[in-house]
Amino acid sequence: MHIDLILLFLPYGLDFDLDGFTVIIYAYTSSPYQRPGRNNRAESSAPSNSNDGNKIIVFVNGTSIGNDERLIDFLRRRSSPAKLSISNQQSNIDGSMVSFVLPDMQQARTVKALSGIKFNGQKLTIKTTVDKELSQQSSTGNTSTSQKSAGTIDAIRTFIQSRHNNGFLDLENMAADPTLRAASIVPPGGKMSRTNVGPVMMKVAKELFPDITTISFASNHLKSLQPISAVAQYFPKLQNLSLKGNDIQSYKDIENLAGKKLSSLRELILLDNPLRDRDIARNKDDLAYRSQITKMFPSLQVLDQVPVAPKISFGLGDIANDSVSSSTLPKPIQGNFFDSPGTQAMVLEFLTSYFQLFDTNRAALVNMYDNNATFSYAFVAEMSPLQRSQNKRGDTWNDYKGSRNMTRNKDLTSRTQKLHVGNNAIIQQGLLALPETAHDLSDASKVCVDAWQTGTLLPAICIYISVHGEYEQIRGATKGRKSFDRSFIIAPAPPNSQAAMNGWKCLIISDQLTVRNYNGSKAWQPEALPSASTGPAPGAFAPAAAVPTAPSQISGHVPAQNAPAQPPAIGLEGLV
Amino acid sequence: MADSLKSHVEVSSSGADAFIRAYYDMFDTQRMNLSALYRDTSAILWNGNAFSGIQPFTEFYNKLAVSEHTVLSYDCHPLPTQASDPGTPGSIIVNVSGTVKYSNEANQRLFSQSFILSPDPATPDKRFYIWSDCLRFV
Repeated sequence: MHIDLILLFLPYGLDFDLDGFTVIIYAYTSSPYQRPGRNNRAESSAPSNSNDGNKIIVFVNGTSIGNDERLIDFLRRRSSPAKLSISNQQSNIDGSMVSFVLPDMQQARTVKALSGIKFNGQKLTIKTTVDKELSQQSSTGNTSTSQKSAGTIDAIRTFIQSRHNNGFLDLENMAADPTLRAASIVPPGGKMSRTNVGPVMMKVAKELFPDITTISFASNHLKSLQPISAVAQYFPKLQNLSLKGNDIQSYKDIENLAGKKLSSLRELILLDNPLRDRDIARNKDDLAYRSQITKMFPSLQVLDQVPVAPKISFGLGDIANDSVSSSTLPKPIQGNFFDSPGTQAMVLEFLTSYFQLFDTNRAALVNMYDNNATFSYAFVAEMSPLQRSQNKRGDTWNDYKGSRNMTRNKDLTSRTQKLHVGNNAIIQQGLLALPETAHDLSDASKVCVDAWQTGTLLPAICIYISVHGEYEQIRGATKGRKSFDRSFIIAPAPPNSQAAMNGWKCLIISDQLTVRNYNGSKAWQPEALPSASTGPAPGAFAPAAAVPTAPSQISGHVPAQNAPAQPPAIGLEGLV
Repeated sequence: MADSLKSHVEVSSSGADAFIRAYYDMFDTQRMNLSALYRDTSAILWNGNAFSGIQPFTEFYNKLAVSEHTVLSYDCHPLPTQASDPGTPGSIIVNVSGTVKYSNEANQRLFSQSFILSPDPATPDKRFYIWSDCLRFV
């Protein structure tokens, strides 16, 4: 769990930019092509190759950085909240290098930390004239960062304590909170809020008050539940949730906590959100809105402070996986399968490293594939049941033209061309041709893994792995969330192989990817035990006078036997 | 090399074509014959439930309602071969994505199924059988 805390203080958004693996050394030489920058902001003279007094020169290198103004803006944004005092900005003639001057070590450290970040789709290499000092400082412990980190956590702890009362965590209007403001913490929903502020808050809340059953996120300008989706991870048995007075526009924006993620949720408040107001205005009543919400949150008993009508169906368009009762199947759906703890440990370690590199530095995966490994992918164009239920359109093939889907690729030539053989071909023609992705492995419920050893099937004892999950396609014609299935066969890396020398324990023999239109993760959730049935009761957010009639909503007492069956944790957390 | 790759692809992918047609057709219309494709050593996982041996698996799938599978996508790779005889075909891995509708359910389910097919050395013509079968609703 220490990962969250570290990431919180990275001086940039951490979504897709983490790259702790590859450091490309850029050897700067004074270039004859250097010319004055188009828009020098400061009056000082051109940077020299030496550390000019206190001034620090920074060199940013990439093959086609292009417009240096955009690059500088990008670096400023990514360095926020630190303010950069950039001066004497210059670029070389082919646009592959930009240099500028910074006044102090603190700013240099901030910018240096951005090295490896992607800009315009290419990795930037950032060197400074004080790289040596920076690396010495970081190896002896970056005091200012760790001080800041301790201060931030303390502030969050103080904040959570001040907002908790008897199982009720009231996180209303966090932006105005003096504790958070004093610590410069931008809460979820705020502009430029760090993606892990929400998770850290929830983690701290769970540590301090594990019995929280009611949380209010009222009035936080939340546009979606993404920033607070960690609620499901830390409080899966949450009973009451208020999202009153936020900026939620569509049903998609609340998917992060929908389905079985909060399997005990009995009350939800969405009053004063554009989603509800607009839907009711359009339909002249709230039936369709209430139908959709109760479908998305099947355990709900009270919605917007009005009891949910019992067992009333609102017509067609059911989400397939919801409306099918498991009793029609002769066996219940079970969670992840591993034939042994050894397999499990190996597979989880492999998948964690693999997907991290797949998202951030695919070329570095070259050592993970055998010389004779095979890779191909298939795209399923048909709409998913989830999309159909939401009247969405299916995706086109545009970003997945190398699909080897054999229902469509019948001739031998295309089947041969689209099978990539050998590690270099796999990287160059296979993986790098796929759109940029971000896999989120931190939520175990969104990933399903089955794996076992192959015995004598193959020349070496291998592990067969089947993974189902989702990723975000970051750009391209069909950008957005996708579901995927992936089958790997991995072998132990031979001692002197490139893989072993690069620290990998495994070598991929075969890798098949299927990309599908997004269908969520409900289908593989293990069957939850039936929860205790309680009739509609006044909500926990009802005026204080009504609370005593439903004391259990506030007391935080959840009988243990009502706990939903949890799939084994396979997130990063379970690993490190 | 290119030719040998092509011939590998030809053998493995036409094997997959035939298998996909036969397997789902058999599952939907002649389920009683399905067990011939498995061995007692086959690794079988159905939505996280592991089966050891043909008998328990046969009992299980006979309890499943009448099914209608539609294959939306499949893909297949040849796998490295164990045998010293270069004429022996190697195993193949086949991944399938599709929908299944059970007669006692209102809606289709999406499924992802992955097979490893392997030649059975016990049969004179090295007939392929299902070495492993991993199915998930997705």
